[in-house]
Amino acid sequence: MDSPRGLSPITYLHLAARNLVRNRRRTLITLLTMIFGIATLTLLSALNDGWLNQMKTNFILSYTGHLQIHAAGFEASQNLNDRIKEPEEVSRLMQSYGEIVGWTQRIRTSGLASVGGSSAGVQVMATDPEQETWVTSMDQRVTSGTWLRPGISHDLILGHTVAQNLGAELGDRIILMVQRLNGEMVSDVFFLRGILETGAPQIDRSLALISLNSAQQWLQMGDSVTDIVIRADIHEHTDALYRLFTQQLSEHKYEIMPWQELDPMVRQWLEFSDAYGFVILLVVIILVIIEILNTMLISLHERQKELGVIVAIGTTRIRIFLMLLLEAVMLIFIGAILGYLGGSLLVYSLADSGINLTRFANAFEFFYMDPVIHPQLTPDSAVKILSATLIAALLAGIYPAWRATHLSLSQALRIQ
Amino acid sequence: MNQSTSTVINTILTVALRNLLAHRRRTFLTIGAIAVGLASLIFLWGFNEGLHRNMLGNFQDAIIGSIQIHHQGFFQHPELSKAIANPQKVVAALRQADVSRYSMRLESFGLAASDITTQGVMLIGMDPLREGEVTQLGKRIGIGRFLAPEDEYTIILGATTANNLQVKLGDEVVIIGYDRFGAMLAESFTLIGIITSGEMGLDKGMAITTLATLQQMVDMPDRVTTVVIGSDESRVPALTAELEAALQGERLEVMPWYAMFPVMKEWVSLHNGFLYLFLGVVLFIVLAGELNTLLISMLERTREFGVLMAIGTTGYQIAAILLVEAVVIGIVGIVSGILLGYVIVLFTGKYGIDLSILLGSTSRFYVDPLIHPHLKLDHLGITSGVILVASIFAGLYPAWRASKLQPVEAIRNG
Repeated sequence: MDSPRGLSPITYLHLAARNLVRNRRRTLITLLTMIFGIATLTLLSALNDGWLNQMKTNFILSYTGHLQIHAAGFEASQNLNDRIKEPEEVSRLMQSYGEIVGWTQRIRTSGLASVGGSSAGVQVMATDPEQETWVTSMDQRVTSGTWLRPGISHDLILGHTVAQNLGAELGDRIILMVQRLNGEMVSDVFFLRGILETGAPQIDRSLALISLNSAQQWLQMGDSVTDIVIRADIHEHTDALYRLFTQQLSEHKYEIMPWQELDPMVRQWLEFSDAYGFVILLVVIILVIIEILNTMLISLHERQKELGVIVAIGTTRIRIFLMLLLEAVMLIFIGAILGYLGGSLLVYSLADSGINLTRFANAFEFFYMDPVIHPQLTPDSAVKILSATLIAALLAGIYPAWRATHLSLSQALRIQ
Repeated sequence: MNQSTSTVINTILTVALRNLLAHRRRTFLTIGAIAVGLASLIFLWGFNEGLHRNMLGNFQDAIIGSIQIHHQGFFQHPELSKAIANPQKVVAALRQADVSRYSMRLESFGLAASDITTQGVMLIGMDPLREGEVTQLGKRIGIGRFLAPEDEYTIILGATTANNLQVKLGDEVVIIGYDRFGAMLAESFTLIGIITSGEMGLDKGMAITTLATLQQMVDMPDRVTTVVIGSDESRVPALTAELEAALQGERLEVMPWYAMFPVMKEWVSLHNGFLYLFLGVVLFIVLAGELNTLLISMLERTREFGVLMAIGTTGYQIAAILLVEAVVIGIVGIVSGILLGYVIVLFTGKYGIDLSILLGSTSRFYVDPLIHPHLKLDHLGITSGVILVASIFAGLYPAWRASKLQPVEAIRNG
C-alpha cells in the first residue's frame, strides 16, 4: 500500500529491521531477555505437565487401569450378585481394538484376614497372575517375596500396611474370610507369598490379592467375574475406548467406567494439582511479561535522543508508533521462537534422566507422585506459552511505542 | 583509612547516587523489575505454605490429631491387650505441659455387618464431649449427627462403608469384634451418622461409637488405648519431646502425626522440592532481568564513561560506581519487593485464592479450595538475601566490562 501520505508496510519492516541490526548489542541483550524468559517458561510448564502426567500414569498403572467394565450397578453395590456372568461376551471384543495393550479379569469383594490373634478388614481381589502384569504394575510393586505364581492356588499377597497391622510375615498361614453369593461365610487358609507397596494408602491398607481361578472355585462363581480391567496404549485413548464399549455392550447389563469415575478422589486430586500448577505458572508468566516490558521500556529510554532527532526531521507520531511497534513485535517473536526452541532442547535433554527431587524426600512414592520429574512438552503448554508471548508482544510493543509518541522534543534532544 | 581513600569512596558514592537520580526512569524500571520478581517469589512461597498448612491442618483435625499417646507398639499392632495402663499419669503429664486439648479413645479392629454383607472396619470409641476439642470429625458428618454423651450402642460409619453395607440412618448394624483375649463378640448398633468427607481413609473402613459403649462391649471399663492431643503445629516437636520426657519409663509411645504418617511429611517435602525448582528458575529470571537492564544502561553510557576516564577516573573507580549503583538498586528493589509481596500475601491471605473456579468439585484430598497464602519470616529472609547476592553479581559483569573500556574508543563509539 503506497500512498503519498503513508509509507508502505515494507518500508516500515525495513526500517524496523535496520534499527534492530544497527544497534546490535542492544538488540542482542533484549533478545536474550526474551529467549531466557520464554525458555524458562517452557521448561517450567513442561515440568508441571510431566509431573501431572506421571501422577496420572502411576495411578492408572497402580490398580485401576484405564477402563473397567462391571455388571450394571456393581461399583455402587460392591455385591457379588452384581457380577459379569458371561465374561466371554466382553472378552471376545478385546482382540478387535488396537488401542488395548492389556486386559484382565478380577473379582473384588470385602473380607477379613486374620493371623495369630489379630485380624483386619481387607479388600479381597482375585486376578489372573499373568494377565494382570499387562494391565497394572502391581507385580513390580512387590517389595518383599514374590508375585502370584500362575497355577498355584493358595498364594496370597497383602498390602504393605495390612501386613504390618496384622503382624504377618512371608510364609505365614493367613485365614481369609469372605461371603459367598448365597451369603454363606467361608474361610480358607492362604500362604503369604508377597507384600505389595503401591504408595497409594487406600490400596496398601486394604489389599489382599489371590489368584482368579482359586477365588472362582472358592466362592463357587464358575467363570463369572466382577471386573474386566483394560489398559489403553495412551491415556488419550480412554475416551475412544469408552465410546466403543458403550456402543457394543448393553447399558442394562454393564457399566463401563473410565479411570476418572473409578476414583473420583484421584480425579479431584489431579484437578487440584493442575490448578496449583496453573497458579504458579500464571505468576511466572506475569513475571516474564513484566521483565520483557521492562527491558523494552529501558531500551526505549536510552533511545530518547535518537527518537527526538526522528521527530525533529518531521516524522509523524503514527509512523514512530508503527516503527517501534514493529520492532518490538519482531523482537518478541524471534525471541519466542528461539526461546521455545531453547526450552524444548532443555526439556528433551532432561526428559530421560529427569530431575531428581529425592534430596527433598527420601526415595519414595506416595499418592502416585514420583520423586524424579521428567518434564514433558504438550500441545497445551505450547498454547499457553504462545498466548503469553502474544500478550507480551502487545503489552511490550504497544505501551512503549505509545509512550514514545508522547515524547517532548526539547526534552528528548537535551538528554545525554 | 587515609584521607584520600575516603574521599574517593565518598566521590564514588555521590556519583553513583547522582547517576541513579539523574536517570530516574531507568532507575525506577530496574527497581520495579526486582521488586516484582521478589514479590512473585514471596507470593509463590506463601501460596505453597498456605496450601500445606491448610492440608496438614485438615489432615490432623480430620481424625488423627497432632500427637497420639499409646501403649508401646500399639500403633504398629493395635490390640486391646495393649491398653494404656495408667491413663491418669498421661493426663497429669498433659496438665503439666499445659495441654487442654486432648481426648481418650479405645480402638480395635472389627467387622460391620448388615443383612447384605460385611465390611472390615477400625472400631473407635470416642469421648463425645472431649473429641471436639481435638478433631473436627463432627463437621464431616454429612448425614445424621455426631455422637452425644447419652448415646448407647449408636454408630457412625463412613459413606463408602454405609453404601457397601446398604444401610441408612436408623438402620441396625451388627458390629463383630474381639475382646482382649481374642474371643469374638457381636452387638447390634443403630446408625446415627454417616461421614461424607470425600477424603481418603475417612469414608471407608471406620466405625465410630462412644467410648463408654465400646468399653462396655469389650468389657474394659475405664480403659483406653489412645490419647489424642490437639496442638499448634509449631509446638508439636517440642511438645512431643516434653511428653516423652515426662512419661519416660511408663511403656508408652508418644507419636506426633509425622511419626504416624511419615508419608504425609514426605509428601510436603516433595511438594516443596517441586516448588524450590520453580523458585530457583524464577530467581534466574529476576537475575537475568536485572543483569539486562544494567547492561543496557551501561551500553548507553559508554560515551559518558569515556569522558570520565579522559578526565582521569580509573577503570576500577568506574567499576565501583556501577557496582554501587547495582547494590543500591538491589537494596531499594528488595525493600519495595518485600513491601509489595507482603501486601499481596496479606491481601490474598485474608480473602483467600479460590481454586474452585479452576476445579469442578469441592471436596478433595484434605485441601480446601480456598487457599490462604501465609508468610514465613525465614522464607522472607532467604528470598531477600538471595536477591541481594544476585543483584551484586548482576552488577559485577557490567562493572568489569566498564573497567576495561578504552577512553578514546568509548567516546568515539558511544
